[in-house]
Amino acid sequence: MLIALVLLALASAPLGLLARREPRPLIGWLLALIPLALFAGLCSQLPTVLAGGRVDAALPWVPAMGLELRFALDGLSMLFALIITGIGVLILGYAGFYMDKDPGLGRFLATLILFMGAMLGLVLAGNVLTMFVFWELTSVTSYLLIGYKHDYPEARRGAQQSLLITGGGGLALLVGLLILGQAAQQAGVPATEAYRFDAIIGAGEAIRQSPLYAPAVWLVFLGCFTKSAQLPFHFWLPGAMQAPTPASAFLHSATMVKAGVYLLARLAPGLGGTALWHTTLILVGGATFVFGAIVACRQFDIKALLAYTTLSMLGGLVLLIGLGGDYGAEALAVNILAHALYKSALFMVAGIIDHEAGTRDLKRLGGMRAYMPITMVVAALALLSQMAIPVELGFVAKEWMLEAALESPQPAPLRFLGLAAILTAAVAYIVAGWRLFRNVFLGQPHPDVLQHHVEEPKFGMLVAPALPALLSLVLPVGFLPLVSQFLSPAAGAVLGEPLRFELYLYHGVTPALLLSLSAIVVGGLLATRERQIAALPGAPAWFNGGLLFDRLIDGMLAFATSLTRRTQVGRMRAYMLYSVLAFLGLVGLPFLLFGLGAVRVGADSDLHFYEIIATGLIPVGILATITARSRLGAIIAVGVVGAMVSLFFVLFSAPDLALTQLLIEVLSTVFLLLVFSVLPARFESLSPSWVRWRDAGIAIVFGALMTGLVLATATSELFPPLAPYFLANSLAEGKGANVVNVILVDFRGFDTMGEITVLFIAVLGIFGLLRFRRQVPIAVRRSQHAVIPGAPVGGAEAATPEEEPVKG
Amino acid sequence: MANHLFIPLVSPLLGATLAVIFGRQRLVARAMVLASVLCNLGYSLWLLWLVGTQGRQVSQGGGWIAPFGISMVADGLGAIMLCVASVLMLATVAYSFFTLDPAYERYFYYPLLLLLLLGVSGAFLTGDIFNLYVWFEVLLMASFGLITLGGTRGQLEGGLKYMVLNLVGSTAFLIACGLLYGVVGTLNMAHIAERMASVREPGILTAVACMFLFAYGSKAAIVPLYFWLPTSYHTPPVAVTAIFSGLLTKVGAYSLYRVFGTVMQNELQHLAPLLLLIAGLTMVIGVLGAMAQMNVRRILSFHIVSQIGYTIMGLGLASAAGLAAGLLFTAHVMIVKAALFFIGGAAEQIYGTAEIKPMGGLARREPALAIFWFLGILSLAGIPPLSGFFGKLALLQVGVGQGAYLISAVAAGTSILTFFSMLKIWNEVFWKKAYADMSKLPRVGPGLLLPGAALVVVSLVAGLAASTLVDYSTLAGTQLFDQAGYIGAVCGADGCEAVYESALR
Repeated sequence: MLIALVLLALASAPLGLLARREPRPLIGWLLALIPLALFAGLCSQLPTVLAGGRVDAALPWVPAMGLELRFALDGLSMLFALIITGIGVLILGYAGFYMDKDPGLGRFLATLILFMGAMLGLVLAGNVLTMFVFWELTSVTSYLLIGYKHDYPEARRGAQQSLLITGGGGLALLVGLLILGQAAQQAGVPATEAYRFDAIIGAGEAIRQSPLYAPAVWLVFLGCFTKSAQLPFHFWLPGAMQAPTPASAFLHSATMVKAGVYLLARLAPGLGGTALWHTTLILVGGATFVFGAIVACRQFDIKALLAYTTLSMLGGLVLLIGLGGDYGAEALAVNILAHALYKSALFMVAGIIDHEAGTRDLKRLGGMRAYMPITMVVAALALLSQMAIPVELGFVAKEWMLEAALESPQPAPLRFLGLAAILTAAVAYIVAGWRLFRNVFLGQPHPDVLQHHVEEPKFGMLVAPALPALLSLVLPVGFLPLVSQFLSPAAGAVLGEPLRFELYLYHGVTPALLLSLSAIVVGGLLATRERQIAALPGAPAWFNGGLLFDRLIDGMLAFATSLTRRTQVGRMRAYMLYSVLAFLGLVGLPFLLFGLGAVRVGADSDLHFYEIIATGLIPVGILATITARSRLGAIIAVGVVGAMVSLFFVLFSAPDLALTQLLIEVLSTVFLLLVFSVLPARFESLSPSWVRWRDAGIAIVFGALMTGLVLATATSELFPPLAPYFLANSLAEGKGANVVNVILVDFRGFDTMGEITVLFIAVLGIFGLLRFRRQVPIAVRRSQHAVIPGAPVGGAEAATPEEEPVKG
Repeated sequence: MANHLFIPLVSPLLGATLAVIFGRQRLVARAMVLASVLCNLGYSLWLLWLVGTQGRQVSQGGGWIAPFGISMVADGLGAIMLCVASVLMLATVAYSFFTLDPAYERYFYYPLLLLLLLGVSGAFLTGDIFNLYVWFEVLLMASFGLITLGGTRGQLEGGLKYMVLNLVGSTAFLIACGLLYGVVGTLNMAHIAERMASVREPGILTAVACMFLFAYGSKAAIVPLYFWLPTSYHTPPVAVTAIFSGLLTKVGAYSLYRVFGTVMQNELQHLAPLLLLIAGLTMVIGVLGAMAQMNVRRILSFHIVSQIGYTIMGLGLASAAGLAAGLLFTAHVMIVKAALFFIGGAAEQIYGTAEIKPMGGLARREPALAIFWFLGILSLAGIPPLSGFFGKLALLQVGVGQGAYLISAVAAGTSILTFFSMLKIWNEVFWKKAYADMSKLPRVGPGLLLPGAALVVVSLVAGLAASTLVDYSTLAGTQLFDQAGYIGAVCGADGCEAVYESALR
């Protein structure tokens, strides 16, 4: 069932392409049947889940790695899955209207449905690796959606930032999850099951004791904080507002950004309970909560304002996980639901305003109540919920949040920090909400807006935000027991034990209620001064995560460029030098460390004087080659070296080898003469003398190393060689008296065939090289020169410098 | 005796010769080439199955008993590499049919490709260390012919650096063979393995092993021996770069796996920390190089270096699981990297340049190309469910399992940088608005798109059916690390030393 649900969602993504044709608005709502079917499918499992049960399903994928498609549906997964599919229905229908003139709608919806499948897989996963697979998929689809308007550099930049941040966090998460699996295995869980959520949670006690706990938790935190836009990784979320509004409403408020919260909540029963866990979550969550709320009060773009309240709320949810306890778990569940409802509605309203009035700028709107009264009501319903005004769901949620802080089992300073964060954010939410409402709907319309033909949106568009906005009001007024019943198993999953709680609107005068009401009063007072608050001096301009991140990237690029330019210099001499130095390091050091003992030097009793002369002439020849001033002299000196080597073969009774060597010597001399005939007769000294001395030193060390190696190996008596076998069997089995010949053509004839092939290839290659000249189109030649400034003309090399850092 | 092991050598050699002879009749020559590549592909698939069900396959060249002649051995590693090589060669030949100037055909382009395949196949199958050198020469010569064919100035300059720096590696290989023979007294890998197994303490053999590391490392383009690669890979036609990226460095990597994984296991244990250091440096420096580039092919070339780091990481983990993971990653990257070269090459054909700044707008103009490119970079960056994820996951799993946290962290960090630098191409070439009027630019035909697209599909299917692949690579890693089994398969149950002693008696 679960597998079918997820796969159905993924597989139906191509259907989105249907929206390439008209009538787009209709097709949007038609496609909304997909999430509707999923929603219905999930609802059919509600009885089991509400009874505290769990639905499991698994499909093996790579058992050897512990990777499987394992899904498990419990209260927490159900809450998220219903939000995903439910809001998915509205978003798909809404998008059809919102983008009815956009020819790319098909591609957009296909990606959106793909995302929905991935998100569904993420929250239903019963195995951390399964979850990770979908986690990455959501990052990628989010990238594509943010960059949907990829003609604009800002869209590309936002998309890239979000992917780098969430992708980088994802990698940290992967390593963290693998370490968790490792810790679970050390706690006695069999390897094939070590990556299951319930196994990790079950082994939680042992994992918390393990030295692997701290690194694993930090890495998981990195993954969750990046995904859920916590400080200091928050900045990608405002950047993600480049996405078309339906995507923002769906991914960047209701679903994907909550993935980090989901994972933290999911793992809380196993990994929570330590000081590390609660302190970090309270501090990071609380800071994000306050930061986002305050920054939101100062935004002028409606979507940016909503984005900051979203990241603020994500901080609030993280804070709740940090606060822990019964109330923490309950408040988490309520707030997730409340936020998903009002925030998706608000984003869709923002899209409607943009769609109808042609702008989202608060400075250029106003007086919309006259033109779109219904939209105003919808917006007001959602905003009131966000501002936690009584009888809205947001009010209930806020009160539970305050209870969570008051009743938190954490030590006093942390608890009060959490409480302070909640109150500050509550006040700021009211200011931000009022600011949005007043500047859009009240006052006098801006002249720019009047030029547009502003009217109430079509019903098919308006119904999408209206539904969740209405629910924000209707649920707390009429259905609180049902909501409590629905949310109880979710809270139970976060707590790790079954739980039953009842939400209420009024339960006598409690501290939480008083705090909540006083926050509303203070917020209301401040809201009247919202203009002045927005005009207050803000943080300095450089204090902007996005800019700092860009600078980090630029710095990394500059470092990479200079490193590459310094190493990849394009001169063969330099490369040869690196190679030789690498050889000295890689082979010389081990030789000095381990091999010196094997070197044995002793007088050879069979040594003849002509052998000494032949040997002595070789270095003389080499020295003469190096010091020769004329090319002819150098050729002659090289010839001496070759001749002496041939002589060696003669002395050690290998006439065929000597003959071959001589032949080669003669040939190469001829070739050298031919080539040198077109070059100046005398050498010119181009390198400074210190370079020559350096090279001489390196060459001598290299020669000494080779000598040492040969001495050490040639005198080795560790193992007897194969030679006696060849001597014995050459005539008998190989039918030849010349052992070298028999080795070449029989014992190792296969080698010889290969070498002959090498000659064959050389002939083919040289023929082509000499005869074939590809014509390079002139345009290409010119462009090469134009693009690589400073490169040697026609240069194959030279690391291309970056004229400017990557855009977007 | 599995004499069929010579088929993948005979077939390209014969094909190349016939293609040279029938060089004038284009269609006949093409048919010969295609037949030979298909023969290798079919054979390697069969070999995969055979090795998977019946274990190692061994044949003795010239019928000489094991440590004295030249042995041919196919195990899981060899079979996988052979198979991937044939697949890539098929894609390259197909791509060349559609893209290459007919003049190339007159100057023996296809025979050279087949001879490259010959060298690669020989290297994957031989059980003799000097014979391995011979195959290295074959493929070096063929690759040199291919890289300079066309004779533009850039090609000659890049080709020269390629040749000289590779000859340094080859020379080191040859000298190392000599030194090894001086100490161990044999060239048969199984026999070397048996003899070296008795030397537990680091000694002169460690220095010799390091020389092999230098030699193969310079072929595989590890840091600090990778300079030849980015210097030369962007100069020849795209098809050549693609097949080079898939095969050349991987033969060096294969040799490292073979020699250190099977033959010199004691030395592998000694050198493991060094290998991990090299792996980390190679990953990071390679990817930094890629980030600094603004040319599709140069970016991809630097990525080859970076990804060799992952392969070396698998070796440096020094266990059967590590080798299996590294092998999985390597097989994946061979396919995907070639695919990206093909697709990038198609974009290059449209604009007539591989520089990314002047390009743009291809996402709208060529949506199919864009989709496959995007899938390709997802695979390269290791995003599920494409094959790259499994290679990365396997390496990280083994790394974390063995407590090698540092290299695992570096590997994970490198993969986001990989993604970043590939996104640069995506942003500039596909997403950015085109500067110029695009309507006059040529369209991408199916011949240009299909080879790369097919390889991307292979990567996708490999990811979805990863279980089979993981099981096979685990088998291959286990086989590779099973020294006793290797010796037994080549020399018989009593080992090579017993054969040696009885033959001399």
